[in-house]
Amino acid sequence: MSEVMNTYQERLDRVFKTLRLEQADRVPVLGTYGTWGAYYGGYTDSETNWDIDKCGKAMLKMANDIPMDMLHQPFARPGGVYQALGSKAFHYLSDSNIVQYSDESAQIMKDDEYPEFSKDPFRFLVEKVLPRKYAELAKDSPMRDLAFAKGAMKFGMFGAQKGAIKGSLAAQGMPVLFDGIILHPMDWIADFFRGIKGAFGDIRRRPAEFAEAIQAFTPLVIRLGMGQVHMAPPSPNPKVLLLPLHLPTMLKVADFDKYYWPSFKMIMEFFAAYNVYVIPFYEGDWSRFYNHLQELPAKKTMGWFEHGDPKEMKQKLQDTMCLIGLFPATLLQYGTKEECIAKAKELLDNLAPGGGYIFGTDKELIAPQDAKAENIIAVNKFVMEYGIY
Amino acid sequence: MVDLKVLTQAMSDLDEDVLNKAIDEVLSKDDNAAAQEVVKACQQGMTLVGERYDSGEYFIGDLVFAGEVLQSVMDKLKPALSAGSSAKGGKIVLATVFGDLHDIGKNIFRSMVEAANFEVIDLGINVPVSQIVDKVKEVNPDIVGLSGVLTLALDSMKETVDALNEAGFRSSVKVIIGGVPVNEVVCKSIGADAFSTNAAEGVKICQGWVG
Repeated sequence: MSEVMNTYQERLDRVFKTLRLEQADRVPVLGTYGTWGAYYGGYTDSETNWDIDKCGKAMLKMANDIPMDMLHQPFARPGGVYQALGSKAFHYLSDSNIVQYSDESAQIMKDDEYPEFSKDPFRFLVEKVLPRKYAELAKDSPMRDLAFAKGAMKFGMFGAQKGAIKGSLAAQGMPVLFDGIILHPMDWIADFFRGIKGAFGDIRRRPAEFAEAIQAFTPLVIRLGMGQVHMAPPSPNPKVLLLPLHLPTMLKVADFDKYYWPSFKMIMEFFAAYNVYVIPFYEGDWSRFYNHLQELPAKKTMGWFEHGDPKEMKQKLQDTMCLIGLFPATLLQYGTKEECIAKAKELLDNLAPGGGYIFGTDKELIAPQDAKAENIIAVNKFVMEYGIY
Repeated sequence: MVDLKVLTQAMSDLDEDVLNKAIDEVLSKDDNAAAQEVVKACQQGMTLVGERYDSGEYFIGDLVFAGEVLQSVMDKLKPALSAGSSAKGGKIVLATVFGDLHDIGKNIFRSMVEAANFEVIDLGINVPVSQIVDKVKEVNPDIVGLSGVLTLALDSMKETVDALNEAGFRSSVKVIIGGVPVNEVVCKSIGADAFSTNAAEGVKICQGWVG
């Protein structure tokens, strides 16, 4: 085996051992550098979305310059797909800004449409949501069919380009963690169909219909995830899906129990049964829900956390899930190298003992100023030396 | 006459049915003084919403909904209220800063700080630095509130504070920043007077400044 392949395999083993809650040779470092990487590579976010190869070049530069064990995912979005379909929802405020999504543009389903949605979510998506979301799909045939064909072709190309990026990273010894991304049905409804404000109103005004819609949409979410699992090339390790969670920490526990938790648990248990690792990004402060999280399938998930007391998290969650996150991105932006290293040491002292801990930032880095590269490099080097077992 | 205590309670419980019935009753009588009282009662209810958030009974979702309910109450009552009739506790220029489109946190803060009797000039989302400075020049507020969810908002916040400094306003206005990425380190680097990720706490900070 070549030296590069050895490095690749070592890094994979280190990460997956840790994911299974075993103690590896040292604490692995995951690069959670999203569109920040575009700027680091000398591009803007928008440039990398129009020319996916630039995303690959930026990722290769990160893999060369920044000490780490794994990158989390290619960050580019398929600009060509959005353009072909006439998306109204994604905004670039300027050429140098990142792509954003506004709550207003998410409001494309009316509040009295829940019964129709729940009866057949897939049909509703195709016939109602897509034409409202994508201007080209609202046109008559053959314009609509052409747009659809063009969008599908661009999407296929996007998949191939992402595969090529992973391939060239692997050729340099750098693995990529995620094989796909899914969302909780409630986040789908809030982010894409009703808007966040709309969803919170529906919880109060149409509680039964809202709960039913979440339940009805859950099998589709699972199908969407399994589709991505099957599309990813075969691998000796389990496939890994990212599951960013948006609304839960904004909910009362009673609402969380009613609307969020049952579907979440069902999704997590489903994928665990198929030996697919789902890694939720636990946005916000989850300390109210640690007891819930103890019920998730053990040793089959990792929790990427934004907030929390590391001691409490280790104590409550160490038998259930591998932990990652908590390192404040703002410190990489505003802190000195010494401050960054002190924070990393504190996290390692609390979270590393016994394994089950991967080092990473509390959120994905997105904007050019989100982190000073020299801070990232210093911190990651420190973790690799200090985190040896 | 509508029972104001029931109204305050209904606002605090976020019970739209009770609120709407009471407001329709007031409107049918075209009574300006009664409309004023209803607004006051709803504002008190909103304060209770803040307290229920502080105590961990309510969460962000409830605040978002509360803001919407209060807004619809005010919209309904507006025709019955004579302009500028209620006393104001202070003046705030509020904005989601340049480069960021997120306004849910800003809107929660706005509804709560309005309920606390502040006059709010909300400049909206993606607001350029110069527009904030111009507005401060024009209305001479007590406080500037800068909001944002994305980390890139932090740069815009800093640019805004720097521009307020340059324009010579920093001694006359306080600056509070809010949103997911703000914390003590950020607040210090940006040069804001205070930060908060909790709207109710933000309101208290503002009250402390003008009280």
